[in-house]
Amino acid sequence: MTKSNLPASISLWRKIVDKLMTILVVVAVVLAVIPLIFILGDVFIRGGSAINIGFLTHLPTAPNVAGGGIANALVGSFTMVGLAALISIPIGVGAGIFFSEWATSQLSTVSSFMNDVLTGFLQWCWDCSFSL
Amino acid sequence: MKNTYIIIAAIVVIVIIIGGVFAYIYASAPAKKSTSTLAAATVNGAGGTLVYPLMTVWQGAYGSAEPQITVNYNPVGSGTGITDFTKQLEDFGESDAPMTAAQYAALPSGTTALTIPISASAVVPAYNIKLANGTVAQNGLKFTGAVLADIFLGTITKWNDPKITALNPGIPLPDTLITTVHRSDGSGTMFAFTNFLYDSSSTWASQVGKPSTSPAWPSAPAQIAAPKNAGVAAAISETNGAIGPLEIAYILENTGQTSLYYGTVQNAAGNYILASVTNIAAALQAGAAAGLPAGNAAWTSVSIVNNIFNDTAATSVYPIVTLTYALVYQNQNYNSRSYAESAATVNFLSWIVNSGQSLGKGLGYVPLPANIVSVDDATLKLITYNGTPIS
Amino acid sequence: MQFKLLRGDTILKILLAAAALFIIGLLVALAVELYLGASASIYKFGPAFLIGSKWIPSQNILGALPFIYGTLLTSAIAIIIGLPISLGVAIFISEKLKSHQTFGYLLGTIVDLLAAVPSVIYGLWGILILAPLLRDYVEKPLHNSLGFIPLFSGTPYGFNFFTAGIILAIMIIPTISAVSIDVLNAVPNSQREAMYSLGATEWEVTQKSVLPYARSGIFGAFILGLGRAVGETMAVTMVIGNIPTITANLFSPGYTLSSLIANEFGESSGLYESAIIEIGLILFLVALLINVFARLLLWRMTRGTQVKV
Repeated sequence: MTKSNLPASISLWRKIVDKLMTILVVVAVVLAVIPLIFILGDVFIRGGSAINIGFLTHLPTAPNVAGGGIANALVGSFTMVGLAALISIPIGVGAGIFFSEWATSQLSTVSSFMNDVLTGFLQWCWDCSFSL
Repeated sequence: MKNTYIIIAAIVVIVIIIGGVFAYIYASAPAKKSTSTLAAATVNGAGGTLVYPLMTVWQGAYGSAEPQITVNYNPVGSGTGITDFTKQLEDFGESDAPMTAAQYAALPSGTTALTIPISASAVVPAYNIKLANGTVAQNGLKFTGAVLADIFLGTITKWNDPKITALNPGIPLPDTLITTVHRSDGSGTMFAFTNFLYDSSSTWASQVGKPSTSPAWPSAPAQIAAPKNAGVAAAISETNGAIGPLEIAYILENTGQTSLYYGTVQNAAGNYILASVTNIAAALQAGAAAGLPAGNAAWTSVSIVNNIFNDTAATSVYPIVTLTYALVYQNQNYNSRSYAESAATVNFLSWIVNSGQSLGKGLGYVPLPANIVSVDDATLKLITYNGTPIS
Repeated sequence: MQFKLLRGDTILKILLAAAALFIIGLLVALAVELYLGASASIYKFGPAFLIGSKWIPSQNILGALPFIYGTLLTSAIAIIIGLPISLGVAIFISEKLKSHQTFGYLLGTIVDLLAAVPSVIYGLWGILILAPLLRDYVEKPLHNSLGFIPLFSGTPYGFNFFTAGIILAIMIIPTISAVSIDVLNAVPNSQREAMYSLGATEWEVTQKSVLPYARSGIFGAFILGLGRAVGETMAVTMVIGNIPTITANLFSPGYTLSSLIANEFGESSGLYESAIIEIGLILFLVALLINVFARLLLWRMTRGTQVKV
């Protein structure tokens, strides 16, 4: 895909708009990346020194006691992700194939609509679980 | 396509290997040896978040004392704790406020719930104020219950209001708007605080009503609600002129917190007390001495705050303290529970009330005084399994 | 009777249809559970629950309007700020980086990392860093200079609709960008080449031929982002102030449906618990309505474009 070579006869206004939009788009990217740098930077700077093999393989200790680790959380995460994948991948892929092969059927329309509703709603359920 | 399959297969294999490594490490932990006579069992509890950090300490220490018994605690909140307890889903429930009459009525017929205080907490007025001379207000600003009530009612709006400066001569309080901060989620801390305000101010009593874990906070000119102690602490420390009720355990636990100071509260004897382990313990002692119901009676109107509110003889008590309670059924033979489970539950509760109390000091939890411990011990003796007491 | 052999095709169709049916079943089960849990409250409070604007549990006066307002307002702010930024990111990665595929892919992954940060972390970061920053450098100047507009009329304390909207915007950027990038990449190069051959600038190519072609796909991305904004809980709860209010003032603390549930559910019991579940049901219906509305709009827009999401 080659960049267009703007002929000299192109109006100044159109050139300005083109450059302006390029700048705006770059600004958008910068704005999007700044919070990420903030958060990740903070986490890495403060937390990075704590990561070592012991941290990953030991069980947590009581509050205010040094040592311990997050082994149980890691195992739990893997187990949970594994089980979730086992259940959701077949159903999700199956439904997806159905939507694309029989896109005109009513089941397809209804189900893909419900799928969209579920996506937003289940995000909330997941977030709520943090508070409980 | 072939490459995709290879990649997927590689990921699956790696995940299995990592999982296996962890499982191996976990399983190869040294086998626990048991020297006690209790049969192996699991004790499950659920309830308020106030006692959760202490509960994890207890789980660890009890696990060393009785390795064959596993204790699990789920900090879902007092309300859910009581609901689960009513549905008999847990070995014990836990709540920051005693059960209400409606909750007692909702219990399964023929059962009696025993209320056992297992720990206590105190609420302090935490603030972040930049004084008129540029320095930051330190610990020890003086408050009375009436003044606190007016602040949270929105009648006192600025820090240099005469009612506050009268209590604190010599401190250059600024002309800044007061921002009140409170918990957005339900909490025993709010229950105790609103209890104190209810007693201190008739305006508060008529406008806001009875103490509750989720009170109807009146609208002050500037108010914020944040979730959990951490949220309230962060909101106060980020806002100049903010004041909010905070649990003392949280402040003592997080000593590195900047821009967060707490003040003194006047007790019935007229003294301004800065909350500390000693005066909170004294408050519990005095409050319990005024009389606690038997474990199997209704604890709905139990309130340490009320008990010491008019106690002018208790000169060194801190006025805003609250107990947190474990709930357990008197007759343990329900839902085909085994004797081992019941014995383990009773043993655990007895242990935390007696041996476990001193373990909380480092985290800011005040050990229960002797008179409350003896009430608890008497209550635990009431627990029976099929008619025969367990103890 | 003729013995009909089930062919592999038919079996496959049945299995796949079962998967699609499962999704419908899941949604129906969710709706039924919510309704059952909320029934005590629906019976007691009736339709007044939806339009009431006071929430005083101790006196049994419950109205969901402030929370519905809060959810819609914060989502609106999130979309107004997040959508242009997401589109900008998507256009940058898809159009400007066409000749630098790897860098584009890398940048896309970095933006996706924003989605991997858990909501609680956003909340803590928001309450400790973003809220004071916004209060001092954005909200106060806005209030001082444009305070006569009702939107900016309140004194800012940092924990308000505005900050919550900004945090939501940050959280939905990866959602909308990721989908938009795929959509824009799917636009055939013939579209672009045709515009270039007519002498268009880069921006004109994007504006006049790529974006209209990808219209429905981008709209789908927008709906996904909106769905996430409506449902987002922990991050919003930390910075919104949690005071039920209905006001045009963006610098006032507010409350959303999901924050209320996150705050109150654990401690609630009995009728109050049922009321909280009813709030959940309302949130569910809000999500449903947004999707219905979006589907209808999408159907009208799709006539003419070909890129679907």
